[in-house]
Formats: sequence, structure tokens, C-alpha cells
Amino acid sequence: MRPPDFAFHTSPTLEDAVSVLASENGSMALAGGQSLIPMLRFRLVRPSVVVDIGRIEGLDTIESSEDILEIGALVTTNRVAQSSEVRALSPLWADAASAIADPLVRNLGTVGGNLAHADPLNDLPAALVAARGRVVAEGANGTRVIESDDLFAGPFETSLRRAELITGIRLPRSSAGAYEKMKRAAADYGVAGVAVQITGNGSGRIAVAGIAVTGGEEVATRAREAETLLVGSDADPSTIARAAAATAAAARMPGDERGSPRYKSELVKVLAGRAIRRAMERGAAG
Amino acid sequence: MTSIGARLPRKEDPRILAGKGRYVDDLTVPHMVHASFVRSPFAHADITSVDLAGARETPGVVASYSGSESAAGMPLIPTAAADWAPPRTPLTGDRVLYVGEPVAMVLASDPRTAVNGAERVDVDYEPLPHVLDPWEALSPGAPLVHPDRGTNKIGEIHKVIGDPDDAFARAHHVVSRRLTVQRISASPMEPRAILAVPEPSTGHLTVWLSCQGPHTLRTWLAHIFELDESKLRIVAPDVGGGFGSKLNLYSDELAVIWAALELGVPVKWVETRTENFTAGVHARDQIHDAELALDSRGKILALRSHFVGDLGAYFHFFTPVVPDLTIDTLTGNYDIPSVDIKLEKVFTNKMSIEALRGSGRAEATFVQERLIEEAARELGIDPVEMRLRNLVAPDQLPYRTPFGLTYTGGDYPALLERAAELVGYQAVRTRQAEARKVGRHIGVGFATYNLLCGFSPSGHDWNPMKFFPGHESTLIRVDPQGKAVVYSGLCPQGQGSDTVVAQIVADQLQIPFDHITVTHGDTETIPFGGGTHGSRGAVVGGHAALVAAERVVEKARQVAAAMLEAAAQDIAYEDGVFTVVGSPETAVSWHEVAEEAHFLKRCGPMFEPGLEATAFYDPPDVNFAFGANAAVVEVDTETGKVKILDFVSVDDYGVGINPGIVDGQIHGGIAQGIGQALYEQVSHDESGQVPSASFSAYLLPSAMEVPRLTLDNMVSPSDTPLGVRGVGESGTLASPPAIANAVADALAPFGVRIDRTPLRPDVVWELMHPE
Amino acid sequence: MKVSVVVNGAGHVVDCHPSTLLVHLLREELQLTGTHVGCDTSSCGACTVILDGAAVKSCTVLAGQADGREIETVEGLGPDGRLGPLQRAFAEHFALQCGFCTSGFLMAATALLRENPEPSESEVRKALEGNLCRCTGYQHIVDAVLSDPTGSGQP
Repeated sequence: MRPPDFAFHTSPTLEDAVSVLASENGSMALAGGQSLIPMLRFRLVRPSVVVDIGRIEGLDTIESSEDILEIGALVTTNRVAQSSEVRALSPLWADAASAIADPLVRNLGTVGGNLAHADPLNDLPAALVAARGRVVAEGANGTRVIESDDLFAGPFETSLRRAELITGIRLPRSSAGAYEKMKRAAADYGVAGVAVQITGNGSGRIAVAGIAVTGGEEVATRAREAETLLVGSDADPSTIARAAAATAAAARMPGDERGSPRYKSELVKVLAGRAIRRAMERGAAG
Repeated sequence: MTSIGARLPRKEDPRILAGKGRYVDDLTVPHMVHASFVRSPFAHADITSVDLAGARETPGVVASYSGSESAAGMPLIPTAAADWAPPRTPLTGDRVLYVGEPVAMVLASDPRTAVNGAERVDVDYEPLPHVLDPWEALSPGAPLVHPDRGTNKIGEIHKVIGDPDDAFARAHHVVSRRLTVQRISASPMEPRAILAVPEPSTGHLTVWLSCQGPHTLRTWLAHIFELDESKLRIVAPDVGGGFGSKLNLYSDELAVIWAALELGVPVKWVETRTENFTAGVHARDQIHDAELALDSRGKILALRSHFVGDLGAYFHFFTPVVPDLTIDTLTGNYDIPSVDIKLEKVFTNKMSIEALRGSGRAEATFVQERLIEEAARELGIDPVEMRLRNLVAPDQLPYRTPFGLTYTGGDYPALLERAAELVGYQAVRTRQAEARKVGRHIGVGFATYNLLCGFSPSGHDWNPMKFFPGHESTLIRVDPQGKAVVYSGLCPQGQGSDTVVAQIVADQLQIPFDHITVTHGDTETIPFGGGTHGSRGAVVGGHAALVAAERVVEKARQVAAAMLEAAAQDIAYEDGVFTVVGSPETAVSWHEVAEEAHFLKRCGPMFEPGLEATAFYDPPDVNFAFGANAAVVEVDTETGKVKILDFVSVDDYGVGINPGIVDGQIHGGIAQGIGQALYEQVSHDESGQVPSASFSAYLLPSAMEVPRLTLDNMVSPSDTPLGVRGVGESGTLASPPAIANAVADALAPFGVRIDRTPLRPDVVWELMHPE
Repeated sequence: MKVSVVVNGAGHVVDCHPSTLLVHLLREELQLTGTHVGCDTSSCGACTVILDGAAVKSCTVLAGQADGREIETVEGLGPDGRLGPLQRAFAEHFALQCGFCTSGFLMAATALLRENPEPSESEVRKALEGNLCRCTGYQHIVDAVLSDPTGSGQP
């Protein structure tokens, strides 16, 4: 399979990328290319210009402050998966990044690209939503910060404006996080995943809980009722079971090659229970 | 000096490891153009118009053809296996019968432009009702795939041997199941590829083709295009896997050849993976209503299976005979006196099924081993014990099956017992019981196999195919230095037969392995041979090499006799030295003989110059290899995911020529069996589309899914000079049922029936939680 | 579009169409045909090369993304056209059959061994999960990578 004809532009700076994307009708941004290039090979998209943003400097750092872990948009998913800093400050993100495709794809795929592609089966959207992360974006009108709940507009759609690019993400730190995913085999894209991040109140109760689902009809379905069930509890087994069931109830799972809605819904329940338990174990250990 | 049995490094490897392999897509010739196809998006539709104008306007497009314009000038494609075949032309003219059928072809100066041009071909279709389910296809009023025939039923074979009705009537117990072996894909890592190079000035045509046997295809090509076979050359360079899927001449490949002949320029086409899943052949796809009649001790009295084979829309080479193989192999290694087997073959609006590693026999093994496992469970007999009570015992050999096949050699109970021992059967049972107490579900499953292989003697029932040779060829040419080039009719796709053949020849000629070069896959240089398929490399191709080598040695003996002034029958040949029997000091070396054979300087014209010989070896009979597999799995009952914890294979392939190669064949076969058991399925949606047409949906097992495999072997030499049996397909037969049986065992507390594969997580979970 | 690449240590300037994939640049412009294409979905890894030190799927890289970068392919693995230690280990362990996937496995494993010279079996399998082989069942490939081909595990 060969991509359709297009022009290729390498942007040296963010300003250049924004300007070219704004002025060229039908232009598309390319970061690591691990989502866009397969679509190009199937000719599912036909950009006039592919704008390579992968060489823009300053967008590939991992930094942390007291509360926040900041990851640049061009950090590869393999770096996230292997970073000891991420593993310590956001095990949810370390898990989710490790779950993406395979190491060869992760060597090029980027955090910004994985989010901006907004594929319901991509793993980082749910990790962003569960972590209550924020996305920093830059466009023609300057920089803005987008709350995770406001980023995804639907499958393969985001609230990013035309010529607006993700430059980085800000994640509240928590050692109590986990991502559980079902892949039928290594080459499988994935059936479903559940992201969980929890913050304790310092006295054994849950203060903040974030739960989101990969693989539903929406991108990163947030399980609000499940979160509410957990908040204030000490995550006893029956509360976890109810939260897991509530997670499954929140996500509308499509029936397809990978399973029926009935199966996937049960799978989400199981994965949610496992993710919550693992997050709690990590929180207790951390 | 003995090479046979030694773990010698493969002759094939250094070049490929250096990145210097030569697959068809690696070849470039001057003035070459590239093809791209327009394919049917419908399972069944009339083509109302094809507009090529857009393609023809695309800069760089050299030519474009549609079936509706050109089919009349295109040849019909026959089948090798039946008198009648559904008419099929390289590009379809007026009606498409499956998704992926080639409708138009665009040729351009480079591959990207060819795709650009193909995108601009405008085809109008009038969709017709289609039929995908074989049972539905057999029912009255079903849409007809080939309306002229008036039915979708291709044919029926019914074999009743012994007295099955009586056995079922008096049986203590009958176990019945509907068992399905799904449609799968060979999925060689190299998709199909062809480069057709015409020579208009002489009328010659060279076709570089990723294939499994160039000679047969040359005959067919000459037949189809009414060409002189002498002007046709087919070359299979390095072939990146075939597994049965590259025995054919496909419609699109013939379209490429047709266009090359029309235009007089070289045409190259390399299939995409997506095309391989729709326009490349599929395999298996049988549904069996099967039952066993048993006495109170679990002895099988009779086997009945009435089954349907969904063959798809057209015939490729072996399409109509693949399910026939299932019939006669359904009793496997078991002593079953009475059988009632009925096969109905059906057309549907899908791509054809074809040969695929273990074809016909893998389906049979799944049915027999699933049934026996269920019988053991229902009778409360241990599954190993159940099998031991029914396996053909060594003292029954030679054993004639109800279908008239004769098994010789081997100890089937011992193979199974060894597998049970290696898997630690009793320890696994203990572990299983412990695990169940904490809610974990481990299971152990067994299966045995009997691989009918070494296809196939020319006159044998298993070789009914027109223009399909049963023999294999070898030409050995020794040069004046005494080194040999071996021209083998085999056409390997990774089997390592250059190495195996060299080992056989080295032992006969008594020269170093490194002094032998093996070449294959070129009709211009290789004597007419059959190619590589059906586990025939060693047992047919190996014997051709053996006989040719014996003839070379005989000739060398005559030369030595002349040199030593003795009679040929008095010449001994040992360790590379010819001596006169009784006077070992009177000797000439192999090298001296080779030199003299060409130059006749010492003896003068006492013999015909040259040192070479050709052999065509037609095996006296088919062969059999056998073994037993054991699998231990854990099922995550919450998600339905199956993990293989341990896998044991104990095989008897007769004499193993190269242990590294033989183990690799078994590993690879088991990996494919794991895929069939747990992951792989070519699926069709209601419209006949193939949603599984990619490696992200059609899941090949990776290094994460195939566990470390434990192999052992027992050797019962076959009744052939080399003692070899066959091994290429061994791993594919027992592994799917062994794994399915292990899953059934793990889930026994849940009363789940495992009646089909693949046992993907959702499938297992749905079985455990019926609506 | 002009693309400058250093492939196996040698610099090249290639004039190619902007939609060219790196794998086709290597195969069709530079005639380095040891890198193969086995699928359309970035699944099989037959096209694996090392790009600026990281193993990647060259079917999922545009030529322009490789501009100015260093690429290693199977052709560059051995010194002076001879086989390197990992290639020899593949031969010794019967780690290839048809050979179509082999260069991808060699490149993925090369990248692994540079980063982790003494990997465990599970680390090897994880590092190779993006490479599919239909012939070998993987065991001989894993054995070859585990055989300490570069001798780093020697005392």
C-alpha cells in the first residue's frame, strides 16, 4: 500500500508549523507518524501537505514539579514507558504507554500524536482523562490549556482548533494509578482498557478518583458514577465491585470482530476491578 | 563420514542473513512496469460498466484493462483436480463472485502511479443476493453461485465401511458433536509476487514467481496460454513462505502474464497484505456432525461424520480435493473398524479454500481428537487411558485402515505415553486441583496425529490431479575438481531442503558437505520436478537426490575401474577413495576420478566422458509420520483469555536428516497450530466483506504467544532407503485439538463445550456465559 | 524532494516523491532490498531498521522524516560484507527458514542487545513482539538472541 500524493513540509519551529497548517487547506500535522502513516497507506486521508512537526525543539522533555508531571508532546511513547520518573510519579501513564502497540511503534509514536489522533482504541486518552490531566495547545491565537474532559469530541475528533497543536500535557502526580488492557495477541490493536488514578485524603480514604475506558464508542469514556462510588471509601472489595460494575455501565462498547457488546462490557468490569485494586496496592506501597 | 543426522548449518543462511536474499520484489529489469488491481467490493454482483478513462488519463499509466473489455480475449483457467471447473478468467468480465475478485488492472511506470491509476477506475455494480453459509447454500432457494449448475452442491462422497449402523445400534454409549474448523489463511510473510518478462523477438517468456513448484506451473501456463513449454521459463527465487498457498496460478498472476504478453514489456506485481487476505486462497472451513459409537470400556466401535466443506466460489488447483483428504484420515492412529463418512462440497461467495500445511488432515485430527476427548469425559475414563485403549498397537502393524491405507512402523501408544511423561501429567493434575481451590483454571490436553505425507505416487489415489507429477527430480553434476552441483526439483520456501539434499548427497559421494552446491526453482536448469508441498521434501525429493547420487557413484566406479585396470564390480568406494577389493594399495581418489572422468588423459576412451546423473524418483507409496502432543493451558475465566503454559510434542518422523531443520519444522507447525487453536480466523461479515484482512485483525501468534516448546522424538525408520517419513506438516495436526482439549479440561467444572476454534477470549467467555 | 540520509555509514542524497516511505526509499532508490515489506498495517516488522539508534518500522516512516538521519539496515550489520555475531548466531541456532522476516528480527534484536546486552528470555520476547515470523515458531530466534552473540556476558 502506498500513500497518495502530497507535499511534505518540515517545520523547524512551532510558529512555522502553526502558520503552515493555518494557511494550507487540507494540511495535516505529522508527529511520529504511527497513526497517520497507516491511514495514509490505506488512503483513508488525503492531505495536501504533510507538516512534519517532529523536529520542533523543546517539546520532548519530561519534567516534574511538586504536584505535576509534565510531558512534552513529542516525547515518544517508549520513553514514557521506560522513564523511571514517569513510573514513580504516574504509574498509570507508564502502564498505558507500555500497552501501546509494540516497542518498534513506540520508538516513533508520540504522546501528542496518540492523543490528537483520538482513536477510541488508543490508550493514552483514557490515561489522560483518568489522571485529570490537562493538555497545553498552541495555535494561531496563542497558548491555551484544555482540560482532559474537554479534549475529545468524538472518535477521531478533538476540540483542537485548526492549526492548533498539542505541545505538552500536565498530569497530577499520583502513585496510585494503573492501566489494565486486554489484547488478544501482541499484534492486536486491543479490545478494551481501563485507566484508574486515585488520590488519597491522607487518612485511608479516597479523595479523588479518575476512571476512564478505552475501546468504547466514545474516546476515553469517563466513568463518573464509578468515581463517585470510590470517593470517600477505603476501596473495600464491595465498593470496588460496585465501581467496576459502574465503569462497565458507563461505557458503551461496540460489537465487532473483537467481541460482542455483552462480552466487552463484562471485560471492562473485570479490567476496572483489576485496575482499581492495582492502583490501591501501588498507592499503599507508594 | 556421515552427514545424515548431523546438525549442519544451513546452506541457505549466509546470503539471506546478509540481506542478500533475492525475493521476487527485489528484482528489477529494464522497462519494467508495475501492476495494480481493481477488485470487487461485493460478494456477488453484476458488473454493469467499467470506465478506465480516469486511469488512462493518469500521467505515468501505461495501460489499463478491464475484464469486461478484455475477458473475451483472455483464456479460461482450468483446475488441476477435476474435469469441470467454474469458468474463471484472469480479470472477471460480467459478474463478481467474491470480495477481492480482480475486475481491472492498471499498469504504470512505478507502483505509486499504478495505485493512483487504479483508484481512478470507475466500476458500476448491480449487487446480487449472495450466500456465505454452507448450510444455507445447500438449502432450496439459496442464491446460486454458479446458476448454470442449478445447485451450489459441488459433489458428495459417502463411504460406509464395516457395519457402522450396527455398531451405533448396539453401542453402550454414543458421543455426538457438531465440530467446526474455521477458515484460516496461510499468511506467508512474503505475499505473492510475480515478474513476467516477455521476449517478443523470440516468443520466449520468463516468469519470476513466488511459488512452490515451477515445473507444474510451466505446464499449466503453456496449457492456458497455448504456448510452447520450451519457450517458457519459470523461476522461483527465494520464496518467503508458501505453506500451500503458492501452489497455484491465480487469476491476478495470470492477468499480469497476459498483460506482459499483450504489451511485450516486463510486468511486475507484488500483492499487498490486504489483497493476500481477500484474493489469496483460504483453507480449512469444514463443519462436521460427528459421532463415536463406544462400548462400555471406551473402545471405539464406529465413527460417523457427515460434514460439509465450504470451498468458496472457484476452484484453485487443489480446492475440490482438499476435503477428500479429510475422509480417509479421519480415523488417525485409532483402530476403528467401522466408519460412515459423508462429505458434501459446497460453493459459496467467498475466495477458494486450498491446500494449507496439514490440509485435510488437520481437520480430521481435530474432529477425531475432540470426539475422543469428549467420549473419555462422558465415560469417566482418563483421556490418556482412553486413547491407549484405542490406538493401533505395535503388534497390529502393519495395520490396514478401513480406508485401505497401510501403516507400518511406529509405536503410537509409546509416543503418547512419552508426551504424558514429559508434560508431567500426574503433576499437572495435582497442580490443576490445587489451582482450582484458589479459583484458577488450568487444563491439560492431549492429541495424537498420523500425517499422511510424501505426496504422492503418480498413479496413487492421492494424485488424481492432471499435470501434477508425483515424482521428484535431481540432477547431480560433478566438476573436474570433484565438487558437485545438485539441481533439485524441490522448490523450498524456507524448508532448508538445499541443506538436506546436500547432506544426502554428501554421504553418497563421500565428499565434504562444503563441496556441494544445491540449486532449485528454475525450469531452465532443473529437471522436471514436483516442487515442495505435502511433506515430500525429504521422502520424495531426498530419494531423488539419493538415487542420482548412487548413479554418480556408479559412474565414478566405472571410471575408477578403468583407472585401476579392474572390473567395476571389484571396485570398493570408501572414505572418498576407490580401491580394488583385496588390494587396498591400488587406489584412486574421488578427485582423481572426477578429473579423469572429464579429460580421459590416463585411460583414454574407455568410458563415456562426464560425471553426472539424473534421477526421477516416483515413490512407491505415500508415507506416514506420527506423534503425540500435550498442552497445558490456563484460562482466565473472567476475561476468557487462554495462555499456554507448556507444550510438548513427541514425534516420529523416521530418520531425521538435520535435527536443527527438523525441530524448526515442528516448532513452526506448532506455532501455526497455536494460531488456528486460539487466534486466527478469516471472517466474513454479512455482506461478505473480510474484516479480518490485516495482521491487526487476523492475529498471527508472536513470540509472546508461542511458548517455549518441548520436543522429543522416537525413530521408526520408514520402508524407504533413507528411512525418512515426513515432517513439514507434523506440527499443525495435533496442536489445535491438544490445545482445545486442554481448554475443555480447564473449563470442565463449568460444563462448557468446546466445539470450534479459534478459542479467542470473547469466544471462550461467551461459551461460559450463554445468553 | 531531496532527502539526505546516511545509510550504513554512507551518505546519500535521494530525489524522491514526498509520499515515499522510508522502506521504499531504501529498497527502490538505494537498492537495499534486504529490508522487506510484509504488511500494510505496521504489524509484521519485516521492514525494521535502526533509525538514529532506535529500531523502527520503516514502512511507517516518511522519507522526509528520515532526512538528515542515520539509518542502519541488515546490509550494514556485518563488517565488510561478512556476517556479524548476531547473524552468525542466527545461523547456528537455525533461527531462519524462509528468511523474509529475518532482517527485521536482526535489527530489532540488535537494538535490544545494544541497550540490554544480557536480556532475559522474557525481555527478548517482549522486544520482538512487533516482529512476526510464520516459519520458525520463534524458539530458535529467541535462542539465538539469548546466546550472547556479542560475548558481552563473558567474564
